[in-house]
Amino acid sequence: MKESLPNYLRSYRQKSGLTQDEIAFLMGGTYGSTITRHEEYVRIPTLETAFGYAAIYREDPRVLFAGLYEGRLRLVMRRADTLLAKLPSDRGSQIGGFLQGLINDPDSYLVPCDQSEC
Amino acid sequence: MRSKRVLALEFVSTICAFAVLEGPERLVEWGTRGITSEVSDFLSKLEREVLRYRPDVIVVEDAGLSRKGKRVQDHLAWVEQWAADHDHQWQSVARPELQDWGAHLGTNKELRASALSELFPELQSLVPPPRKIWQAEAKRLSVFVAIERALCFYESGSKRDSKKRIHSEP
Repeated sequence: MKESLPNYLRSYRQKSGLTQDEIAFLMGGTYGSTITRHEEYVRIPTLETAFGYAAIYREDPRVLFAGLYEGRLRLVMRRADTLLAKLPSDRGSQIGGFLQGLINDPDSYLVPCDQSEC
Repeated sequence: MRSKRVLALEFVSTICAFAVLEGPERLVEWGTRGITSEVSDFLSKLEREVLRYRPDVIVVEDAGLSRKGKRVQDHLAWVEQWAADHDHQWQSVARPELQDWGAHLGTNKELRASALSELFPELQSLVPPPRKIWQAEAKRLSVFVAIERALCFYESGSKRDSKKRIHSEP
């Protein structure tokens, strides 16, 4: 699998048996149309809403928004590499180890894909 | 290690049941879509689902060994052609192969659906009540067939080459 889906909100909602209107109510809203937009990847929920989903489905936001998280993680790793390359030597000695750690040992959640499988 | 994301399809005259799995133990989504015999309408719906789920493989029934009518045969042919044109990997799982695989779950679709709902409890509300002899088969059973097809693919799929039709002897 090349990358995760942007989010798994619909999957978790279907498993919970709740309707979009019920989720909207739990979130403090009225209509399920916003929930539809999140589930259809049309809109990215705010941080507060993302935590709301995490609370409802009792799941880590990194799992609920796996694709979004992986995308961010890749961006951070790429940028860390660039930043490391352009740091002056004194600054490099201060934070170089930290940045190298980001590049070499990213969050273990991003499991590398088996080449034979992908 | 992550598994391939599979979009399994099951066609029954006017509907297409689908199931998206990320490995044999992770059912992501499932459902049915109404389809017409209009090729452009059908392909636009298929494209929308493929864009949404971005599957690594599309798993369909083997048209050559299917016992279904012309409309379903057409749909299967369109899927294969579309997948080939758009460079999507697809696999076909033949009916006999699926029956062999599902034999341990039950002898008919209802029993197999019931067994699958134990594997995936979120599907329990989809399992139809036992039907009377005069009643037609519930269309939602085709969702379970799509899931069976995906699971069958996972069990034997790693040994297969992509974009090749696998025939089982009937």
